[in-house]
Amino acid sequence: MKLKALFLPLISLLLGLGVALLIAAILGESPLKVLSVMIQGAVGSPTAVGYSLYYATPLLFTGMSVAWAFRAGLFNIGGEGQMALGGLTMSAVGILASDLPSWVGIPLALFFSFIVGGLWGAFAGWIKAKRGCHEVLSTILLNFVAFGLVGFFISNVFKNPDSQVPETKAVGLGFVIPSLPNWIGGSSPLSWALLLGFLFLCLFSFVMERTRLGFYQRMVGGAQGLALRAGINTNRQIILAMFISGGLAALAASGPVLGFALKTREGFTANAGFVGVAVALLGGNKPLGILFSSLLFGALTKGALDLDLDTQYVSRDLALVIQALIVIAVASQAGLLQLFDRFMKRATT
Amino acid sequence: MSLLSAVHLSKQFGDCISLTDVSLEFEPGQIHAVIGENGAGKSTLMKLLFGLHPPTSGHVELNEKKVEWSSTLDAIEHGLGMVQQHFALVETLSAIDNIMLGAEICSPFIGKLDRARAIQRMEELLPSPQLKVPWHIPVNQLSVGQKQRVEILKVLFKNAKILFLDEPTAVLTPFEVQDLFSVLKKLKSTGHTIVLITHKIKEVMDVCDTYAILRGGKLIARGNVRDTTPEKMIEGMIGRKILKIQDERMASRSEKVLSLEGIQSSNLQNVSLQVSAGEIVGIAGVEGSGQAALVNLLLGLSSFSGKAVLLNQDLSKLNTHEIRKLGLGLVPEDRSSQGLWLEESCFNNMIVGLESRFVKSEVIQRRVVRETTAKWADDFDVRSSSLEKNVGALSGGNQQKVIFAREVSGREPKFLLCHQPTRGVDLGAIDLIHRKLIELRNKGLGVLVLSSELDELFSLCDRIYVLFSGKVTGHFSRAEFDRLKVGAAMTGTVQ
Repeated sequence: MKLKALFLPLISLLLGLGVALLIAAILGESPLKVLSVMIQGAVGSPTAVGYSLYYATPLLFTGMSVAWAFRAGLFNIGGEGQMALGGLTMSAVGILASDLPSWVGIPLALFFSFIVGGLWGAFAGWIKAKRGCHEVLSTILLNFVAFGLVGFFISNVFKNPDSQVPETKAVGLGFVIPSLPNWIGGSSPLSWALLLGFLFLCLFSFVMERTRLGFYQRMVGGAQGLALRAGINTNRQIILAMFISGGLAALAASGPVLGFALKTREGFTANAGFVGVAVALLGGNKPLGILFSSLLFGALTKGALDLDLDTQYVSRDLALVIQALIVIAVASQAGLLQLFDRFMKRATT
Repeated sequence: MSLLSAVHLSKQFGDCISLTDVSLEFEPGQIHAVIGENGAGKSTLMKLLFGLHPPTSGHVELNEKKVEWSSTLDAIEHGLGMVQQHFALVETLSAIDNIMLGAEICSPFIGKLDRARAIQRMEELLPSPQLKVPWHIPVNQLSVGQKQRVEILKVLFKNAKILFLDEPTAVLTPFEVQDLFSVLKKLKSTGHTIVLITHKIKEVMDVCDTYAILRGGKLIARGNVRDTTPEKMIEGMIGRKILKIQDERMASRSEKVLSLEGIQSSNLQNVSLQVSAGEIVGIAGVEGSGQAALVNLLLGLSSFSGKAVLLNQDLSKLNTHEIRKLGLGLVPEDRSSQGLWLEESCFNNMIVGLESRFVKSEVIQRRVVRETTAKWADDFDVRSSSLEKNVGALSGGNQQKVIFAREVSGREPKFLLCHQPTRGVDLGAIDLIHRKLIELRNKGLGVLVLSSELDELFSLCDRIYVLFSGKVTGHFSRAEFDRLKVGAAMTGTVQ
């Protein structure tokens, strides 16, 4: 059984990578070269590893966000907008109360960020509970509203007057998440936000598996008919699930905003909200799976950056192709598992 | 001389052996019964005979020649026909369109459906003109019995000589069952061979010539129906004697646990009924007569007008949570979507709705859950290698016992609502559930049982109300129980 649980993500990964390399070959690039460039770029030096982990940090949160909603039977693809709002909130708190010391400032920014992202998600949950509007539709549409709002606040309210690009002023010193001590050498923007991600993974696991809240959330996801008849307020659970999911997505801004740029720029989310869907899918919506798949996707993003320079016919967009192929492979789960069964049967007889 | 035979058929799915070395012959022009409990291997045998799966070993013979079906289509072309338990009809198409679906008769060149010719052909094939159905009416306007007849005609239209019927009476009223049996006898007289797959012994006695009993994937016994007794067949099916249900009934008490007066809702019209403490009240009726509406109303899931009092409280003012807390136990109709959480352990399934009892500062105390629910599971003899297992991996009977363990031993209800309490459950578990229900009744619990199985209601209930299209069309006390009278009320024929 354990073998089976590992088989699906592994084969999906190999399929995605294989087909992408095939595409590279068709385009006239040596697959071996593409592969070696990507591996070099992702883990070839201490700096590369640091960047891979830095890219993985937001994915940890957006992956958890999607997974939480998914366990409660919901599909939150509004991570992108929730994360953008989360970043804006961190900036806003960091600008408005810029004199606070670190031990108040950082938790406060994270708290408000969680609340704002959460409310944004909960709004989609509320429309679903009250009017039956499917959350896929509402969350994706709310993304655009969020982008608009964030853009407005960046260029009108918290605008950095010294910059040509649309970005907010820098947060106060008490809001900067410090860099991780540099054990491995190199230089990268890796910060303690990564460990915050690990902490939240543990919390995710505990709350989901052991507490009453997690019990309700999972029941609404796995047995709604039963929950309804057991007298559980399923609407409240749906709204709550979207709140938590939105909050987790908002925290994804902690690494890029409070750990590195110290300001919110337009488009800083860099698709982390959407890649979170792939992370959760590949990770089977389980904490440990999310950990591995977010590290993988982080490395993939970093590794693909060098393709722009070192190859002639493919670009960093190959990483997107690989991600998409992995998602397709995971989504065709049933067929893959059948393949697995047939393979195991042949292996045993 | 046998028409169709199974020769040493075995089938293994993965590690699971579902049929072991079954050899059976079906003589032409007879009605054969294949009986057994759920999971005994009946459907697997049929699927092998019909070419839906290839056998792991053994083979099928037709006219004493070995055949290997390349697909079910192949089997159909050789004169086999299957009437499934669940109708496979396109509800919006007319009967004749449904009948010729897959073997359409079309006009040349343009390909327009030639319904007139299809009807002509169908009528030539009818063993008796009584079998006609209204050809041009959409199937969703036909009665359940007529729909089933369309299913049979569908098979005849494709020239089937051997008909398999899988649990054909599950959805029929007593009259419709009689009707079906006369159709089967007609078919037999015109030389068709019929294989009836069932777990109802009475049907076997009524209409079949031979029987074959399967248990645990093995052929246990076979022979002529006239040489055996119902008791022997039941023994063969479950592998032991079944004890008669104890029928000492204590007098029921006077206090009402449920009282409905003049209830109106989207699917119910002027429904009035009472349940007292210490009695089992049944609701009979063909499926879809308003049972689901009644259950939803009692659960606070739908709105209604009229007076409804549950355990001395006004039902219209309570939500589901409050109703359940008041002491309502529920065994819902659809086990897998309404009664259980299939991907969870038996432990966790048994605390659903009761979880707050096991929570200490928001954390569920797993050790306490294990200890307590193990006792509940014992009460209902839940058989599983471990209660840690997902409930979805248990047999239907054990799943139902898990629900009973939660709703009775766990919840200790003051009123128990059972909707199809033994559907898809093996005879051993049915026996246990029935005995428990009577035991609970004698201890003073008020029970409302909704069932489409009259036998079940007759053996359990003190009184029966009959529902027909949302109205109460009959009310019988135990002394008045009569299959035909209750059956008449089930079709709305008030006497």
